Amino acid sequence: MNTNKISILFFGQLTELTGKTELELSGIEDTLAAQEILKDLFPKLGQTPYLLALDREIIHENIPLKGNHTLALLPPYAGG
Amino acid sequence: MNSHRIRNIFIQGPISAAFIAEKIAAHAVKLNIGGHSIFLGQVRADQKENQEVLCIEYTTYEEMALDVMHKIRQEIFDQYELTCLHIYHSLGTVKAGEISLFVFTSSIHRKPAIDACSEIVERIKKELPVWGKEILSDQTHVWKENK
Repeated sequence: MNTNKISILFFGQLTELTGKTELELSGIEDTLAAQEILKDLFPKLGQTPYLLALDREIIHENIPLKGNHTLALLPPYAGG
Repeated sequence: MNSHRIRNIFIQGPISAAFIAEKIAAHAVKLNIGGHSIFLGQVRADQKENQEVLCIEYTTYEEMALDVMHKIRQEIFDQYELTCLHIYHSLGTVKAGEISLFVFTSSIHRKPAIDACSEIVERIKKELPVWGKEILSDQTHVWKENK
């Protein structure tokens, strides 16, 4: 059984949308499953564009999660 | 080039003119430099939802931002003949009219400094995980989004 711990981080407007800056999920198979769970917890996430960063690297496809990881949800950037 | 260590680029609050002047002055001893290029990003009092932007509150995902910045620095050093490269970005509150981004490149002749400076600014806007909450005159806010 998968007993991994995945730290989820929220930034920018997503902290308002979810009311959280972080939370922990466990037993998550892959990044797509994490996104589905988060969408169930926070339905408004479905309406907002964001990028996913797995352990500080942007990902564009589903990645299996073995062991502990950090998954960050990054809304559009506004630096500069 | 792996000789460049990861540096912190973040400064709490606005970047002062005095700080910028100090950084310029510090290069007087580097006698092989023939040209500097400087970009200063300033917070603009935009009109949004019939209100005026008073200030921006910047936040970041610091660990990732420093990784991203390190990668950009290395690629820029590989691509351009630069002598020096300094980048500072504000976090926290920066009022309209104040400076939030300072990019400073130096090279033997002007062109690499100018081109690298311009490319760094574009890459920062596109790739650096930084968010800006624009506080409006009626104390509501909107989230800034780079185009």
